[in-house]
Amino acid sequence: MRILVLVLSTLLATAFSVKAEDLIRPIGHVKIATGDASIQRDGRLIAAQPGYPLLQGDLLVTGAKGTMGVILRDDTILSMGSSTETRLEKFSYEPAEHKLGMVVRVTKGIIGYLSGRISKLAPGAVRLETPVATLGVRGTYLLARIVP
Amino acid sequence: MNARNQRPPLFICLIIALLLTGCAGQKSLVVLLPENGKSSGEVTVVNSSGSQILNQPWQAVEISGGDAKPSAPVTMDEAAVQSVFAEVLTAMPAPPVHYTLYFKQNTVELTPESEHLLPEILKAFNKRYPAQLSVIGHTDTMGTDGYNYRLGLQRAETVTNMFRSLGAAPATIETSSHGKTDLLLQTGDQVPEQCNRRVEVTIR
Repeated sequence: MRILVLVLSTLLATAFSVKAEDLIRPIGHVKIATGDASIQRDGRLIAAQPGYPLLQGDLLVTGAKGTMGVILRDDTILSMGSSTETRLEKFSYEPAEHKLGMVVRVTKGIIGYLSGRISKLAPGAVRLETPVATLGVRGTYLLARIVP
Repeated sequence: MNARNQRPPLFICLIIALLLTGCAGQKSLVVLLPENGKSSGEVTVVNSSGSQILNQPWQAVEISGGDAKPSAPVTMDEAAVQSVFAEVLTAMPAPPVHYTLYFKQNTVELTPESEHLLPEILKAFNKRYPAQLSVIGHTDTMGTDGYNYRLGLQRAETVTNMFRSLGAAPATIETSSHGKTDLLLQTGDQVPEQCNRRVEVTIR
């Protein structure tokens, strides 16, 4: 019995320590992915799945029939319709160090954006860049169609 | 010969061409939505030719290209917004769920009321699988920054360990501390305050 407990606790410790040792901390996660939805990272194309972690610099891409919804670490919600390309260009959320900022680049397609904590703590620190205009966001819920 | 007969008639080609031009002629569009029924913040739409501000729900601007001035804001019909943006509206994930747990002064011991909340939080977490859990510890302003950072972290770790022992589904659990830098109730330094001795739990 004692051995079993020991083995189990070692297994659990290993499972959790792998998470703790993740060198790069995710900035958010995929929550919804339908049809053709993927993440381009370091030249690799990864199929988006609910629960998949996102990193700064990721390019989120949907095909003609895909959609994707993500939540970032500051509670920002971002959703994408079909044929959409969005890069999570910059994300810093360290309130204790007063590091707050976010830049999302929407190259084309349609998106929904609901502000999280960064926008509330640092109004003016969130920007959505698009080929046709820059959207400066102060705590808000918006939808945008970008035709480059 | 057969292949030639299968070619679509000229009028169909024309219709397709018209549809394509229709798509290419679509303009960029930005719409401000209400948040929980209230007007929500502000968006500034800027490019090299001009800028516009949206600050009322259902206000929208159109932009015909990078060199074109954003149009003056117009109020869009709710149904029209629904039809243009149906896809993204259905792909919006459910908003994160928040809980606050309180601690006894200068301890990592939960108040009894907060301890009773744990099973409910765990249920909400497991229901949302695969969810991410964020556990952030906070303190009041008694003591130094360093001391409170550590106390906040110990509080967060206590809660994380309780979730694990109660059988939380394995997932990303982020445990961290904001020490005394992120007060719920603003006070001066060295003030004991029950409201600030807390752990904030977010289920995403």
